[in-house]
Amino acid sequence: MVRSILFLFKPLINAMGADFNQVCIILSAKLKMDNRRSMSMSQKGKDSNHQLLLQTFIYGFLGLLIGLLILTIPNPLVSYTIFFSYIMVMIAMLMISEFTNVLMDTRDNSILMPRPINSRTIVLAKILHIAFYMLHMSLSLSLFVIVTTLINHGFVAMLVLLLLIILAALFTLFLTNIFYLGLINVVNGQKLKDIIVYFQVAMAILFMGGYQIMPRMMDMYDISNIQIPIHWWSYLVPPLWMSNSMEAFINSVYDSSHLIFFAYALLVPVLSLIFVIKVLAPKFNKALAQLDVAGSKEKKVVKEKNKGKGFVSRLSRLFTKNRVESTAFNMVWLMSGRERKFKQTVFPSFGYIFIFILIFSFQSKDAFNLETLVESNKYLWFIYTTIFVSFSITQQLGYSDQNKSSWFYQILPIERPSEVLLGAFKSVMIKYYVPIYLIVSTAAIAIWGLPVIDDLVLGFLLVSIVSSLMQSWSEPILPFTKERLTQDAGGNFAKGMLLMISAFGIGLLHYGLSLLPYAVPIAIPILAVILYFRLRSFRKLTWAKIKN
Amino acid sequence: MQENQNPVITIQNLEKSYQNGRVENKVLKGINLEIKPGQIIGYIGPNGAGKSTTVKVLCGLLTDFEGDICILGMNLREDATEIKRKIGYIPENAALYETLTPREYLQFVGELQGMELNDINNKTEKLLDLFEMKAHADERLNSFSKGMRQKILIISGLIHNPDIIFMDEPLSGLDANSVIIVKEILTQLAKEGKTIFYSSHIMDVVEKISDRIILIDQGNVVADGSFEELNSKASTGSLESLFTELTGTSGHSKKAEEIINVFEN
Repeated sequence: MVRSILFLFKPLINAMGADFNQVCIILSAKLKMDNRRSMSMSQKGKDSNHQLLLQTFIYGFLGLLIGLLILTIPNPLVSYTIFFSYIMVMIAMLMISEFTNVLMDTRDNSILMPRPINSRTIVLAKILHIAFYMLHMSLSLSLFVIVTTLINHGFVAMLVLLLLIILAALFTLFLTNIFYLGLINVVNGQKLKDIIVYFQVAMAILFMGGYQIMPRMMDMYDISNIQIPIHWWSYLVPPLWMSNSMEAFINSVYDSSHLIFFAYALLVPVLSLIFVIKVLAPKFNKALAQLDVAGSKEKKVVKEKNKGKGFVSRLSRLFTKNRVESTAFNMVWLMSGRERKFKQTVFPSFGYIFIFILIFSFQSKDAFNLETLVESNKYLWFIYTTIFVSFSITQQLGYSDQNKSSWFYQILPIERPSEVLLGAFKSVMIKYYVPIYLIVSTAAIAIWGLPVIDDLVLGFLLVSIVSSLMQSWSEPILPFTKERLTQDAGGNFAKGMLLMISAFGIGLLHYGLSLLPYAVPIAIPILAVILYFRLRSFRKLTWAKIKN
Repeated sequence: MQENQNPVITIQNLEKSYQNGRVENKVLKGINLEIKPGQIIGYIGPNGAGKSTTVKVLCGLLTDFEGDICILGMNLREDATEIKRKIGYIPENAALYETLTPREYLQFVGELQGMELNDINNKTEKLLDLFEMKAHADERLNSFSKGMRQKILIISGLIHNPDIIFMDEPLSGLDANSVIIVKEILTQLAKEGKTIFYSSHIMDVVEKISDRIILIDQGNVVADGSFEELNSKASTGSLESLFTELTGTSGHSKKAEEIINVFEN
């Protein structure tokens, strides 16, 4: 199929000095691999043969949500401004979070370079690959809006929209290219991958938050009556170039302002594309080759600073009981900060806490003031949203991409593996859960005052007990020893349900206690004792029960 | 016979540096070599001597080098693509497109080498069978062991029947039987007139298969000759001892003693 589409451009490809046949071969292989590569958003390493189709559905769904929103807005300038802002941000974010690994695939250097392929062929295949990806992404995201434009404004308007979408995608490509080049020049390959992880985390939070908060925002501000006045700086805002062009066409307004916007919409992306091909792409490839050299042959040594190690060992002495436990505590503290996948899966849960606190605290327009919030007992929401973090850290702790290094647990004379598990559990809870709980507690105390302190203590104990139960209930796994691919979706779903039920259950229990006089302060010492014995019972775990 | 033939590889004053931040690290410091057809060259040296860098330059993976390289009568800077049609490269533990299967990967490589599809399929089937990989022909490469991956790299480097074969630790991860087979393949290919440039730090394999051994250290050629010639120069009569003498890494037993002392005390 690739060949038949590219065949239309064969003379052009040959004229550019590339080998048509080889371009087709490389592109086919790349697309085949894309089709089998799972999205980072799905957080599963499962192999599949229909990833592109799945992505079309996911992007289509994301586009549907924004499409439904803008359907309610009668003013085309406003609706298309929202639409173009949305797809430009989405394309940039998705390029960075989903496509970076493909774009920065240094394997190409060792696989393609020894073959009889000239450099123009390699560059063209890469550009076409990116072009395909951008086109697929932008059209899937816009599918719903394209259809509604066709229905509401006719066929020609749809064609204009298509053209503008492609131009917007090209301009976004230019922006992301500049972002990459800037980044490659200042950081090394490892750091770059870390930054990409933060982008993926931001994406995950954005998706989760965006679709929860947006409908509420719409309720609050009467979005269908918004007007967009044109100022001098409006000409510097890319989505406005596109939306003004759309408005000009739909409402047949061809004044000078709209024509200037249209000229920008047309010329800037085209010029930026030429700039990308002529200047940025070669620079990018060169930087990439350097990255490969730096990443393989001449590894840049990443020196880990000793800073803070004294603090960690003090903590481990304070919270652990023996050498094995404290060693595991220290090791997990260090590893969890460096394991990229761990961060990628765990960090979004921090964002979820704030989103859910926002959602639960301000459920309607009327509740959007502090007074009504103070009168409510919604601090319970504050407490139990943190279970997202405790759950994700304890569940992710067992998994690693470098799981092959786990053999050393087997070879070491560790009598009770439970000590490793316990040290690891304490380490992640203290490193990740305690700080977030302190932040949430501070906010709760700021809103409800000191009387909520006993509830906060009770909440902490309850969440700790449930998290420790979850860690050992689901067959215990030693830290960073299990391949992430084996994390099955069905199991995750079941665990997710269990999480929801248990969060709801303990929240309800807490709520019940809070209704009885003195029940909370009485429950605290009892639960503290339960937690103590719960952690002690970790020690009963034997090698036979450890999941390998 | 080789003496009268034109060299297939001529390297003149080859220099190569890596830029690491502001520091320039010179890895090759002026290599001069002439290699005749049908030779098996054992290219040895300690870690970091510049072996892999030399191979990567010769295969066109690293393009910014100083000096002149002529392969099969063509200049590497000007006719890299044409040269690459006639050479094969078998690296150690190199990258593969993980989500492809061996069949798909070999077809991809074969097509890029300009082979006919029938020819590729034919050879792929036979080679996968001979390397005992047929049962895994439709499994994705990401599930393969190190040895299995190496077999795929070997097949992909040889499938287009190249005139010169560059190898960089090609036996890494292979089991004993496979090692014997590959060594035998190399010897027979050399008899047919193919040139083999074999870079390794495993002495005994180099000793057994090479017609000519080139020892490099810190980017310079420090010894060049047949095993017998080099052997006569060594004080104790083995390639290993010559290696340690020329690369200045003697005193191994003293070092071993010191290490044991640390462990035991």
